Amino acid sequence: MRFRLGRGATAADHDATARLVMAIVNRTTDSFYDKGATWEDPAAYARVRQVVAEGADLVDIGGIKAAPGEEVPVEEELRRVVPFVEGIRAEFPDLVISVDTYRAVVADAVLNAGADVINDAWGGWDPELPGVVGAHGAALVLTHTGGQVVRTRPHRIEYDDIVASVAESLLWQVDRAMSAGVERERLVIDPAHDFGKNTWHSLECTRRLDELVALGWPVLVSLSNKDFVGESLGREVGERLPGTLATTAISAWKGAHIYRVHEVRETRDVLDMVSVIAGDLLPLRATRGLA
Amino acid sequence: MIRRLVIVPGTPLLLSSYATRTDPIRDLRTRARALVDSLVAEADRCAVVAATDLDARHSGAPVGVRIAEELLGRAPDDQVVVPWDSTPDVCRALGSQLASRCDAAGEPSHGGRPGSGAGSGAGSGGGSTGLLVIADGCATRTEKAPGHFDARAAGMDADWLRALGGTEFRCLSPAPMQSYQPTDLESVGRIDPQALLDLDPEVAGELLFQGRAPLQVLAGAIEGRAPRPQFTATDVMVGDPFGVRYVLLAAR
Repeated sequence: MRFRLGRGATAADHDATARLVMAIVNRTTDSFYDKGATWEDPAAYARVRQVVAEGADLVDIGGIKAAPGEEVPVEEELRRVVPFVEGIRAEFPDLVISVDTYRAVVADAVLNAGADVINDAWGGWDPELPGVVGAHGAALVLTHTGGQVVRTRPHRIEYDDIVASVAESLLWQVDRAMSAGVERERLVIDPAHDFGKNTWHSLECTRRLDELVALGWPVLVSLSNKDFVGESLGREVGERLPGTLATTAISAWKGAHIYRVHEVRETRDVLDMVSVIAGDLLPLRATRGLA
Repeated sequence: MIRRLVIVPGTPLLLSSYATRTDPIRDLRTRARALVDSLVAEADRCAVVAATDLDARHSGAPVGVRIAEELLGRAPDDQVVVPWDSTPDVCRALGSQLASRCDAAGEPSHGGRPGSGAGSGAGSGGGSTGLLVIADGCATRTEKAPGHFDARAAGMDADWLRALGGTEFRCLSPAPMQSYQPTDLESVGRIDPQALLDLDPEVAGELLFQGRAPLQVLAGAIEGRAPRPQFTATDVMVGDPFGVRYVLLAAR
């Protein structure tokens, strides 16, 4: 299995041993974790510089919080993300830029501005979106939301088999995306923890993540500080890093390839440690017992 | 006849199987490769002296033997693997036998073609032998050293460095590998085999001085030959970056 995210001529070609860090950069006032910390331009640019220095492989820029909240019209989403994508592309010509949007119009604009990846976090809600991504030769992240309406929370939702539902939905979206012109090696699948899922569902998706890896597409996991971590440990937002990192390590061991995170440095260390244990990466420097 | 000599530390860090993303002994590795390459290029055949492992819990070849093979890029033409705790007398005898084989290998009557560089196994090949000795000093030089700190280590290491001809081969401890410039080596004396044979095996064992036995094999290969080979260091690096005395030395 090989995949590519960047659109440049020198874009990296990744294989099944890849463990990439996707750093979250919110251009919102109200996202659950950072509460508008990177709403202003200077803070947002500083965040990108910081995560690149900390080892992020790509950034994921979002203009709308996932949870219910203030309505963000298309024009406002464009205003939040397009100039920022242009600025980041100018400063970091080789950085892979992802934009988290469910709107085809926004996807078209940010891809014109220099983005490489569209992270469609709402499960293909806009049927025009895959065609836009395919036309640009860009990459697309497909997600499972169980048919949840955009920006709504799950309420008393049950599945016969959550992992089977995830696989069925994602494979259907894969077919649709490829029919719309997205290249096979530019498709990424994401079970979307917490989206259309209660905590039990997200835990089972983690426990059985290897079944999704076996589908043969690169798997993205978005675990960072989410409610299923908080509910598992009784930890509020801001206290969930150990649980997030434990879930990250388990997901890495089960074969996930891309990790959408708030804390880059800590995640980079966890993923590199897993890679070293797995034999996919040499230790940085080992002299103990060998002098 | 043995005409060239290179001494390389016996650290497993030199083995490719322990490679890491950053090289903790980059300078030592680079220089060791260069010196051994020269040894191979300048000698008709190569012999190796290495010790058995201090604490062998595996069935493979000793670390020193594997280091030599990796540096040479092939199996040596002759080899002495000396038990690390051998007595000086045993070491001397092994060295003498090795020198005799090297002398014999250089004689035309053995079918060797001086200058050919060909040959495999003892007794084959050409006239001059390059000797690669895998040896290092005490592993008890600092608090963080493998064998912790032992105040006797400095004296023991000074003794064998002096025996290699280098009263000037001093460095602070702990210290990164330090190269000596040609001008530093102008005053270097000849290798003193008797001084090497005088190293106390019991104290050496307590100080985890694994190179003692190979160095005494080297002494046995020099001592008692007629004419006695006179080796003088031409290239030296000394350090103890991990609390183990490393000496990289080329002599002729």
